[in-house]
Amino acid sequence: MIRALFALLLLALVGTAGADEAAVRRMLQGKLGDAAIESVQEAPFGSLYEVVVRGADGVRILYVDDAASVILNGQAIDAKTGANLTRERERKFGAIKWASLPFDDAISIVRGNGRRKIAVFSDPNCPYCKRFEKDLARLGDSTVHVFLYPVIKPESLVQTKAVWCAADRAQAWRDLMLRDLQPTAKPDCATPVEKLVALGHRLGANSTPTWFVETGERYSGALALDDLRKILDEASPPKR
Amino acid sequence: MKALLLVLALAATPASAQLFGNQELLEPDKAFRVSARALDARNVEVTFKIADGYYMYRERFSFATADGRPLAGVEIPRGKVKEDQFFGKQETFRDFVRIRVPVSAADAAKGTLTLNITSQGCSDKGICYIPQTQQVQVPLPRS
Repeated sequence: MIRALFALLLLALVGTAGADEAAVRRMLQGKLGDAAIESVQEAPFGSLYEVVVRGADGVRILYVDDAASVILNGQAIDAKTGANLTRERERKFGAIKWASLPFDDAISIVRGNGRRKIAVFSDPNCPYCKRFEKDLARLGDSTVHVFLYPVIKPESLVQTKAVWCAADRAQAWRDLMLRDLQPTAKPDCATPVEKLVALGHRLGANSTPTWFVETGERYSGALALDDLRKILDEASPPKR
Repeated sequence: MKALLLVLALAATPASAQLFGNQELLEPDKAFRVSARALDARNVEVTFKIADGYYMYRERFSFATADGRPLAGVEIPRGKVKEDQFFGKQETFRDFVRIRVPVSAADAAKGTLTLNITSQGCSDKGICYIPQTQQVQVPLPRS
């Protein structure tokens, strides 16, 4: 009698639990092209599984219902805060290792105590990179690592090389970006510029400015100063 | 939990953009959608549909055949002059741009034109895309 009850209970449990992670993986098989499933777990909302998919162009999040019958290809927005929960997760899973960036190949500009750390892939012929540079200069305590990324215009290559070959690289970069003064050094020294272009491509930087914060999370675009400061304060909090 | 809304697919539709002050950036091939059609045996029209809030630079278009031979005589209309603080006067396009590409006699004889189109643009949201090259194939009518 007890055994029969237990069996019934078990059956009921199975009935409500719906599909499991394995079923989600099975259902997605052959539907993701060259991309691979990195993880499947219950989403923190709805009766959904969150599926992390990694492909050539980065990380994507999909959702699957608990019966493994529907794939949701979209974004979850927190109705209270407006936060894009899907993009936050994609950003987290797509993060790089901050320490893996080749900082010796960057132009590093320290202001104040240098607390807020940012690595920026920037092109002198991208107007938004110039706007961004202005805001970076107004951040206060910060360390800005500029990775020269001449991808927007052919002439960017010579300009960035000339910046790298200048006696004072940081000054040459600031002159070019903030004051529109062309670099005067001959662009004929050994530069990491080609290497940085390859690195940027590898990191999927298909636009400029593309930037990374200390947690390794990637952002695109010249965000407004207040938004930028908020993100950097979260990634590089003040030490107590 | 209940205060959460799932926006399904097509997150970049205007409705959701309005609702959430959409910060999403489009992939360049979605921001600048290319299509091409033959006007006649010797002329192809290439159209870029440009998403709202995005723009393309006139001087950054280039056209080549599949084997990399640059095409001459391409007619790009005049763009809107944008006065840039740093870069001076630049012609840009919004919404759409239609470009006429002449077809050589040799290509016309093949019955198909394969075009490599390079273009570059930016978004008002504060980014510029690296130039992208897209390939289109246009069936040509017999002359």
